Amino acid sequence: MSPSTVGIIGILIMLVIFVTRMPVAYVMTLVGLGGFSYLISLEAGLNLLPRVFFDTFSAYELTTIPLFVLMGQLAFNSGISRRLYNTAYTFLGNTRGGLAMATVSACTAFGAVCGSSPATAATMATVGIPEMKRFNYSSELAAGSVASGGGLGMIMPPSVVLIIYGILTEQSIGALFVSGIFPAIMLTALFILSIYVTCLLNPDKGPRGERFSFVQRIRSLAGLADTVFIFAFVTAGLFFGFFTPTESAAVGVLAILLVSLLRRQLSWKAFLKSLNETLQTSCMILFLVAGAVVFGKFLAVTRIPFDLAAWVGAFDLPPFLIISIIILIYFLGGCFMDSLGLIMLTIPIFFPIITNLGYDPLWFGIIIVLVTEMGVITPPVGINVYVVYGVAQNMMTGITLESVFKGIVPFLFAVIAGIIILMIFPQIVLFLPNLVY
Amino acid sequence: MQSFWSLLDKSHRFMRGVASVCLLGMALITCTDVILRSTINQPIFGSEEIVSIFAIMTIGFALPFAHRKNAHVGVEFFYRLLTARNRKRIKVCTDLVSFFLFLVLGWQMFGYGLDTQNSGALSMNLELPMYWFVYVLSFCLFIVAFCMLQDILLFLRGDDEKK
Repeated sequence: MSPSTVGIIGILIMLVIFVTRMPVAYVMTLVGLGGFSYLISLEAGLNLLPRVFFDTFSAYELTTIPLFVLMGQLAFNSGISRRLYNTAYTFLGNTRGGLAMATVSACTAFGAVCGSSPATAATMATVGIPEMKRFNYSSELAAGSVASGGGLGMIMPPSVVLIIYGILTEQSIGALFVSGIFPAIMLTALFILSIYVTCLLNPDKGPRGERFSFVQRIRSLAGLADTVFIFAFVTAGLFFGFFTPTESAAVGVLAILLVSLLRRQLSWKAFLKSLNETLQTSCMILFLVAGAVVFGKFLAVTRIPFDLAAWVGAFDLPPFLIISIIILIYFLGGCFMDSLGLIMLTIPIFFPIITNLGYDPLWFGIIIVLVTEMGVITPPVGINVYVVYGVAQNMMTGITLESVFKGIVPFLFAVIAGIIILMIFPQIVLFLPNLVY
Repeated sequence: MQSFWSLLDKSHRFMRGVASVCLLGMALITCTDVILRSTINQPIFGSEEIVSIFAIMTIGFALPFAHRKNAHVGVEFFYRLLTARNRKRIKVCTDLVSFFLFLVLGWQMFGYGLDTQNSGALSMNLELPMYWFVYVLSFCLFIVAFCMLQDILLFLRGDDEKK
C-alpha cells in the first residue's frame, strides 16, 4: 500500500472511531501512532509518543494557553461581565431590541478579557437573560443573541483558537490577535444590525427598555474602566513587543486578580473554581495539541497534505472557489465537532493549500475562526446553544432548545455576511497587522 | 483492593492541588520576571525553563482530575443516537482502549526518562536534570490509566452509577 492510501485509511478509521465519542485527542494519538508505526516501524512510533507529549507539555510558547484560560476564568467568576453589561445597557437599552444589542456589545467587550466562547455565552446569559425577560423580550431573541454573541469571544483577542492556529501554522500570535480586532468589531455591528432588522420586522420581539440621562450614561462608562485598562495593558504590551504572549497572559492574570480583589468581587470559592476550570480546559487543549502533533507526524509521512495541495493546484479552479469549498468543509465539520479539535485535525491538511494559493495565513486564521464560530451555534452540536439553554431554562419559562436554535438564525446570516465581506475586503483583517508589524 | 482505589482517589485530589499551585507559580514567576526586567533590568535567570517545568507539572498532575471530570472533548452527536445499553457497551470498549493507550504512554515515558537520565541531559540555562520531570509525567500517566481501570471495573461490577 502506498503511504497516501495508508493515510486515507487512517483518516477513515479515525472518523469511524469518532462516532464512539472517544475523546478526539486520544483518537488522534491512537491513529497517529498506528499509522506512523505501520509506515516507519513500531519502535519509531513508540519512541515518538513520549517525546511529543513531553515536548508539548513543556513547550514555553504553549504556556500561554493555561494562563489566558485562567485570565478568562477569573474574569468569568469575578463579576466583570455585569459591569460591562450595565454600561452597554445604559447606552442601548432604550432602543428597540436594545437589550439584545447591549448583550452582544458586552459579549465583545468581555471577549477582550476572556478567550473562551462558551464561558462568554454562559456569563452573558446569567447577566442578560433576566433583564430581557423583565422587558418581555421573546425567548428566541434573548437566547439567540447571547448564544451568538458568546461566539464573539473567539475572535476578539485574546482567543484560544487563534493561539492554537498561530502555533500550528507558526504565525505570530500577536499579529493574529491584532488581525482579530476589526473583524470582531465588524461582526458586532452586523449582529446589532440583524437585531435591529429583526425588531423592525417584529417589534414585539424586543420592546424598548429604560431610558437613561446623558449624565447616567457618562457615569456608566466607569464600569468599562477596568476591562479597558486590562485589555489595553495586555494587548498593547503584546502588540508593541513589551511582552511575549506568555508574559501578556501572566500580566493579564495578575491584573484581573488585582482588580477583582480591589473591588472585592472574587471569593475564595470563585478563585478555586477558576483554578479547577482552568486545569480541566488546559489539560483538554494541551492533550489535543499533543494528539494533533502525533497525527500530524503520521500525515507528514503519508505526504497527504502536500499531495492534496498539488492535486488541488492541478485543477484550474479559481482560488475563490477552492477557499469557498474549504470554508464549506469547515462549516459542515463545525456542526459535528468541537472547533479546537476540528482546527487541529484539518489545519495540517488545508494550510499548505492556502499558502500555495497565495492567501495570507493571518486572513485565513480569522476566516477559520469565523467559520468555526458558526459551528458553536449551529445544530446538532452548537455548544453555545446548549450552554445558553442550560442557563436560560431556569430563568425564562417556556424556553425550548428549538426556540434557541431559531433565535440564532439572524445571527447566522450576519456571520455569513461577515465572511463574505472579509473575503472581498481582506484589508479589514490585514490593515492593523500591516500597520503594527 | 478497596484501599487501593481510595488511595487513588486521595492521590488525584492531592495532584489537583499540586497542579493548581504550579499554575499559579507559572503566573507568578512570569509576572515577577516582567516586573524585575522592566524596573531594574534584572530578569529572573532561567525563568522560561522554570515556567516550562511548572507547565509539565500543571498538566501532568491535572490529567487525572481532567479525566474524572470528562474534560476531553468527543463527538457527541452520533453517540447520543444510540440506546443507553449500546452507549454503555461502547463506553467500556473505548475506556479499555484508552486505558491501554495511557499504559503505553506511561511505559514509554518511563523509558524516555531512563534514556534522558543515561544521556545525562540537563536543561540549557539552569542545568537541571530533566529526567525527573519525565518520570513525574510518567507517574501521572499511570495514575490516569489506573483511574480508567477503576472506571472499567466499576462498570463491570455494575457500580458505575454509584460513583
